Amino acid sequence: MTGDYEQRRAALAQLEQAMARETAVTPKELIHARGTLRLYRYLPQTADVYRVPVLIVMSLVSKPYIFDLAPGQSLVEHLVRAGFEVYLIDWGTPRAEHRGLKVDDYVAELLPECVEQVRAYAGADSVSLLGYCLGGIFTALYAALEAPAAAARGRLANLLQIATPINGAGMELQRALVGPGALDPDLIVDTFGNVPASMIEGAFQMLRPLQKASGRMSLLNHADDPAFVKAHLRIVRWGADALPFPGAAFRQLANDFIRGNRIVEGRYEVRGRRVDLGRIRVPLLHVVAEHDHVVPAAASRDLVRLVGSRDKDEWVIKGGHVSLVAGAGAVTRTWPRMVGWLAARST
Amino acid sequence: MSTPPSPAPAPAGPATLLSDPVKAWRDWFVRNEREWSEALTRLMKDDGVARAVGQEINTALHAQQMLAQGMATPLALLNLPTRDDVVALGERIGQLEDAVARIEAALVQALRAGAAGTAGTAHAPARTRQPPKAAKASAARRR
Repeated sequence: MTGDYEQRRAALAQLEQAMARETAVTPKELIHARGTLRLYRYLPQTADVYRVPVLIVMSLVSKPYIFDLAPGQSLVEHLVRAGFEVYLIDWGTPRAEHRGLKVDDYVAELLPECVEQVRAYAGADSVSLLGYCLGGIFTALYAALEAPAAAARGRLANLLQIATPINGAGMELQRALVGPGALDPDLIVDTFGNVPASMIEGAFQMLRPLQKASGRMSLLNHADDPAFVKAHLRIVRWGADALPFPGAAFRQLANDFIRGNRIVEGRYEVRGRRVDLGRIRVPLLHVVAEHDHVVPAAASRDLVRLVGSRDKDEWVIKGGHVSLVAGAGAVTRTWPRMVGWLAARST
Repeated sequence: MSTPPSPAPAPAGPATLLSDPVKAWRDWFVRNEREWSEALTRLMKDDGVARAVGQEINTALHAQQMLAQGMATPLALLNLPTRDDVVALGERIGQLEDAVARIEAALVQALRAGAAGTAGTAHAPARTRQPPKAAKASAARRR
């Protein structure tokens, strides 16, 4: 009995080592670093590439290796093999000294700096931005602020938004939790500086309380299927690998986005400049999931309505929040469609 | 801002209450989990419940603050590091990592500039790739 247990433990340890070896292995180089921020360029794997490079912008609270989970299950690899020059922003793990970083710093300083780095490195006039979840809020705000005057060519070619929350009223549970007399976001920030990763993970679990238990049962039911076990553990491992939320950015989003709903109402300000999503004129595609419990449709659907682009579209894909960027359905259905959309607008 | 989904389950052997009751129970749980989770989150969205949960967390945060303040002196007397001391150490290690990353990025940029100087755009593939004609035409119609 003990021997059997030890064998299983050893097998699991081996599996975890194998997973770690396979994660984030698409060849890349670091081209820019500032504080904890890292800007990577994935090495092209085709003889020629599309004129417009793609810059992937991740959320602050999740690690970006979800985009490069394993060979054959990597959005980055998929884009690179399709002929794109791909760059990725890893915001890194904030430390106590970063507790004062606000959304303004990300949108008006760090993201524009990375766009300039990509343009210079690639020798390209403009870039396509791919923003996921909270990263999508950053790319949308940036696009609205950076929109050039009519007829002028801007730094931005396309916006590919994935599961982007834009309407704070649609984040019903989060809104209720920080509502009047409930959880005090300022108290969290005053206590910890940055919101600890354990609280972030706990918050995600509240959005779907029984999912973890269900996942474990599913795992037991498929314990004899190594491919299933590996795929499952990969995602579980990533989900448990949340990052702390920089305190000031959390406070700002809790107050201005979740409570105040200022983005959708056109009252959100970045460094004193009011953000009007209607100023976005570049082609925009918003890919959302039908059963997204993190960013429900009520929180995401207004984006396409509000932007001023003529070429804009929303795709509702069967599945959940993460199944847009990982999993079998993404590899075979979602990513090829996204590549087709982007390729036609990247020459 | 993400949480793991359950990967698409591979078809498992059929389990019945007679052949494997525990597995059958697990299957039933997995099939119904989404609905149950949604019912629970609906409950938590209720203002009264959300307020109670929020106030519970607020109380825990106040306790955490008091504990941190109360522990500082005893730890100093015992000549043991406080949480702040450990955090400060982590900060310094993080700053070293940042410095190494800046050097790495500068080296990559310098190598790139050197390669461009000696052999044109040595590592850069031509930016001339074209999409299939049908996709391009469809995009042009939308603009």
